Amino acid sequence: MDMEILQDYLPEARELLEKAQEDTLRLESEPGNDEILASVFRAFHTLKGGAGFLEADHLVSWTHHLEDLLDKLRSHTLTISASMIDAILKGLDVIDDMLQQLAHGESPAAGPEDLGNVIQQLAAGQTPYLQALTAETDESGTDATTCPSTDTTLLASQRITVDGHNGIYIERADISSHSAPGSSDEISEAEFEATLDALYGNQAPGLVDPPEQFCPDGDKISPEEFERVLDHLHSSQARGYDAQDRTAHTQPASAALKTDPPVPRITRQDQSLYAQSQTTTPAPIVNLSARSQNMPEAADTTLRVDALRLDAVMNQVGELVLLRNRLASAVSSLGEENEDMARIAREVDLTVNDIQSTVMRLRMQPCKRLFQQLPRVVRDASRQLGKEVKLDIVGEEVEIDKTVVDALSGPMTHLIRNSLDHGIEPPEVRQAAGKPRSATIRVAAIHLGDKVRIEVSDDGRGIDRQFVTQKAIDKGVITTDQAARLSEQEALELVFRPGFSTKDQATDLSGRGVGMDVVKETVRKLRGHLDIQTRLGLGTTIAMEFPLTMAVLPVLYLRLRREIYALPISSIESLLDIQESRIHRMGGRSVYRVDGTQVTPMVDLGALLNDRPLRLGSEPIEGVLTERGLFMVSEVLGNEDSVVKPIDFLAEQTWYQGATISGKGNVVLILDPGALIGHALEYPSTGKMPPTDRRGAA
Amino acid sequence: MDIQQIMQVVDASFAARQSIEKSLREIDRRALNAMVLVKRHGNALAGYGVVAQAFRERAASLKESASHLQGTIAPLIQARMRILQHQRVAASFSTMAQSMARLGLDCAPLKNSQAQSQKFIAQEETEARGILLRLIATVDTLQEGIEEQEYVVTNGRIEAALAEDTGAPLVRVSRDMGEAVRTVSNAIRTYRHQLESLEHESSTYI
Repeated sequence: MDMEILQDYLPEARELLEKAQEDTLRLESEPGNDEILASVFRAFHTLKGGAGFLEADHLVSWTHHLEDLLDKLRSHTLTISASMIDAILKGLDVIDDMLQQLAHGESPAAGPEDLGNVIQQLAAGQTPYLQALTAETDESGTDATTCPSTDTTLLASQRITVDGHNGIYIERADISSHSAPGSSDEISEAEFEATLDALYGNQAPGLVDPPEQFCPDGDKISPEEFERVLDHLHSSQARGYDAQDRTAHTQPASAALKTDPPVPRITRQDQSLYAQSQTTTPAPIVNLSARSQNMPEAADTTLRVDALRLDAVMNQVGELVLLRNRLASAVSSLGEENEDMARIAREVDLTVNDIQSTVMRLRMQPCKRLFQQLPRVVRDASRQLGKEVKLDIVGEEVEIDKTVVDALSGPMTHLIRNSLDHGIEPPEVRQAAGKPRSATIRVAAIHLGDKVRIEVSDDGRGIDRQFVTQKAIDKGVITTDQAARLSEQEALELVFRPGFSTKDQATDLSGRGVGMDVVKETVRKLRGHLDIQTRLGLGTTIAMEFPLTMAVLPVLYLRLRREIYALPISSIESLLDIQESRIHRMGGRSVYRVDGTQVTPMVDLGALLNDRPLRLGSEPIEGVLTERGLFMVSEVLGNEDSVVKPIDFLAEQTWYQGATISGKGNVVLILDPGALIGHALEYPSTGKMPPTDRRGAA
Repeated sequence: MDIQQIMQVVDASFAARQSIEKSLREIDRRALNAMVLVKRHGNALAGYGVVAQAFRERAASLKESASHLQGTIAPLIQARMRILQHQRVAASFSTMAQSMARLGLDCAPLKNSQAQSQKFIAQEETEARGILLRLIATVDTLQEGIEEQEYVVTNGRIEAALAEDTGAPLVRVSRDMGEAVRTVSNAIRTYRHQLESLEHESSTYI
């Protein structure tokens, strides 16, 4: 296998696969859209061409079957049906698996035989035995018509055409009517019914969907059928049809491809020709040519770069940022005596900012990549659950760091499935509640300054806090005492606890109490913020906020007596002068009255990190107000763009997001405000963690 | 100037320093708040970020200037105390000289000591005046720093107006910055008046 070709092929193939899936789902709602059909066809065709270069025979064979089916649909020889959509989608899943095998350097194994047969039968205009499709979807069994081809034959005759030439006429004839012993010219009602049954199985017209829906061109003779008759009549001497072509058409596609010469020798232009030889219709060749013509244009503006190289550049820029910080710090210590140095430091600062911003943009990807799998998830899960759901996607163009896009794929799927399983009511329940039968799930990406907010909301039944609390007690996630202290929001956030589920029995969609925990953990690892809002009977919104870039973290340095720590600026709302009159005790916890409307938990970092509370009035104290609470510190020193270095030697669950090197060259621990507040709320009386449970405290 | 007046000056200096330091801490906090706000809005508020950074740097510079106040006050008070001491000694010599004169006696060393005391007083007065002038110069530097801060605040208001569509509460931030600067400015002005009155009262050249 040529690894260079593979490196080029895989990303393109994945893009094609994603596009094909998106288009196939669109086909379901727009079955007559030729443009979409052509797009899916092209995707399979291109996938097949590339796989040929890699000598991935099973992939070639698999895509060929799908391409064949799409070709028939495109040429209106067949009409699209639900079972076809299912088969295509399942076929795409198989291709995805094959691509993963390719990515591991293995030659893809053959696709599942039963699904392959189904696709081939569908392409042949036959009604397949749908076990492969019904294995996971239950509605496809309704498509049980029988196409005429199984019980009909083609009769050829030579007659004079209207323009006086010899012509071969091919007609479809029913075997049963010709071979039935003792047949007469009179057709009885029973014979008619038997013929109908033979033609359409037990779905005779008038009883179920008209057969045209499944075999609309049952009487029409396809070009292949015509060619086969010509072969039969003239052996291999049919005009315009040489032995090589014949092999390609009469043998299974995979076998035909195996006989082809090794592909890597062929140039890109040749590849089009190679593809041409395998297709039955010229249309894709035209499209490929057009594509080839456009290629130089695309090559001028885009360049595919290995993500590892980008990561390396980003890391180097990170180091440059740290050096910039050290330079700025060193120059500022020189005072005003050296104006030139100060000016140079400022210019370096601006240049590094520009480089950092440019490199950051290199890693940005549109949220479309994250969202494009969701229509399929909604489609499959809603059908499985028998729910009617509309998916609204907003902000696909909003860009976010590649790391976030890669990491969020699983959690997004989980949130959607969770919403479908737990949030969305069955159609009849919705109707009874005065809601539209069809529920709406909204997925949105919103750009907020240095953050991107990703929301998943539904108009389902919402979350009952009391029910959640009771379930958490029942499952041993919290004690009754802890439950009594929970605020409404904290009760709601129990759904993110590991092991929590409102279901007693796990299904293949949810109920194991793992998914939401994974969502929370993923958000934490991505330095994000998770929020859940619900209104009983009206719906739930889960919002995740992530920094635009993961490479550089703006932090605020603070002093806690003699130690310096950092807090991510993204979590800070403002800095306050602590006033004793605003400190109160509530439910065993210290709270701070920020203003007339806001009361927030208060965390003494001295007590938490130094085991010695800060003494207001006796030593300098400042407040750092974050989204989740107020931190008491000795002094706020200033801000800096830092580069986070992971702390591998600490436990998984720590109070720190990592470490950084300050402008003065010191290693500074970056605090995790969410973990600190969470801990302070868990141990309100002391504000300290039990000695046995200190999580990575320095 | 008597001991009472010296104590008033000490009190005024302490109060002024407290007030200035508190205001400067407030200015620093406002600047940091502005920088946090700017950082949280990404590049959209980069212009205001420059203003906030300048505001903070000026605040640090003011803090540095203010820290010199205390260092100048102590020598001033010491000089004043020495002057008082010499004045008392001189007064004693004067009393003694008058008593001796009434007896028809003339003591040359006493006159010499008297002259020496006056000389010391004059020297101390000069030194005290020098210290006072340096103190006033320090206050002048502070006031200049405040004027620069006011200029930065004005720039901040302009940037805030330009970045109004970002939705960030920069106008409020600028107003808070302005108030913090006004507070420290008032404290410094009051202190300067006190020092000037001291200079006026204690001047031997009036």
